[in-house]
Amino acid sequence: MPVIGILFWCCLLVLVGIRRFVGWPTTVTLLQYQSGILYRKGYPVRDVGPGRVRMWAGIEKVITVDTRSIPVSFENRAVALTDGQTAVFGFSGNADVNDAHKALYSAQNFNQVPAYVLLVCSRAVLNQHSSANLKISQNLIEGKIAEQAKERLKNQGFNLLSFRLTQLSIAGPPPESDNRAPRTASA
Amino acid sequence: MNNDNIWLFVFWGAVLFILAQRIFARKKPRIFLPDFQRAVKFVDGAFGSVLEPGSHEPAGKNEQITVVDMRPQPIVVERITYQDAMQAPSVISIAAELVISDPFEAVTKLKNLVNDSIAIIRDQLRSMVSKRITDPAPEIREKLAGEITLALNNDLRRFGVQVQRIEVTELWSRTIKPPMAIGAN
Repeated sequence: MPVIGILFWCCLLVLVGIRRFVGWPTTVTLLQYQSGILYRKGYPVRDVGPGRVRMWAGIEKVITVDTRSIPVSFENRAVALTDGQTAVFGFSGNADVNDAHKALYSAQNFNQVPAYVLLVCSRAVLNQHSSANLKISQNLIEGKIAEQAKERLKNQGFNLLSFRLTQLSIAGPPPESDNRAPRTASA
Repeated sequence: MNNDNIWLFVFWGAVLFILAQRIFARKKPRIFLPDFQRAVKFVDGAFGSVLEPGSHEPAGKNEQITVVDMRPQPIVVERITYQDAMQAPSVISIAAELVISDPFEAVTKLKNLVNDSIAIIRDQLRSMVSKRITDPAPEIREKLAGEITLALNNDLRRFGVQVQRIEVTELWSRTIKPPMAIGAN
């Protein structure tokens, strides 16, 4: 009969050990518009899709990525053109997550990536055109920005769904230089 | 030892065990760090260690743990107006990614990683490009981006932060033509 007591204590210790070092079994449910990555001991094991995911809660974790589309809209941004004029532009666009793994690692907040890429591409493309060129080939420029942005977003796990220049006008020569110390955003 | 005594021993042992676990069990969950995060552990207010990815014990009563995200933070610094080395009015915009190179330095030296870094970047960028002659030709931009990266990283390194993938998205300078010589033969 002492064997029963010893077995009882052994089982109890094993259970405590499993809970202490491995964790306890649990599940996470991902919604239809979510993707996730299962991490074990800090490193990615596999990508998981919508549905129930079983895991060990002490050593594993699912980090979810919202794959719904991310709308982007900017207005009244200024850019210098090659002939010294300043263009004022605005755009709207839409992108969604194509590859959850790439998107998760693309930035601290991956929702900012489409806005960043569209802004960078718009400014870079517009800066290489003159005011005369902007007036006659706006559609061509819009297509060029969309093409560049699509390629960059694809590399970062996103899919560009739409892009449109909503505002484009010539505002005049650029501002005079200002070599004063910059104002910082301290509170 | 008879049967009753054994079962009594098992029963009271289990009761004691469960009570002890309820009393001494940790209230905080374990700290799970994915491979894109690190954590800086302070013990009694002093630097203890940098926690690597994995599952870690929660902070004790005399410990504080600050989690740091090592993924890049995209930033844009737009329309910095300046006078270049030839006193020509110029405009520059850059886009870059801010990454943490040293979690301890970043946590202890910057109150707000992005805002504080952008202030340093604006200041350093303006002083660096003001010493050059601005050439807005597209082929010069990559070289300029490389030089800006070096200059900014020299300044940001002591804060545990670095910039990478700098792109010059806008560059313009008013060309100043030299005055024509009058009356020269």
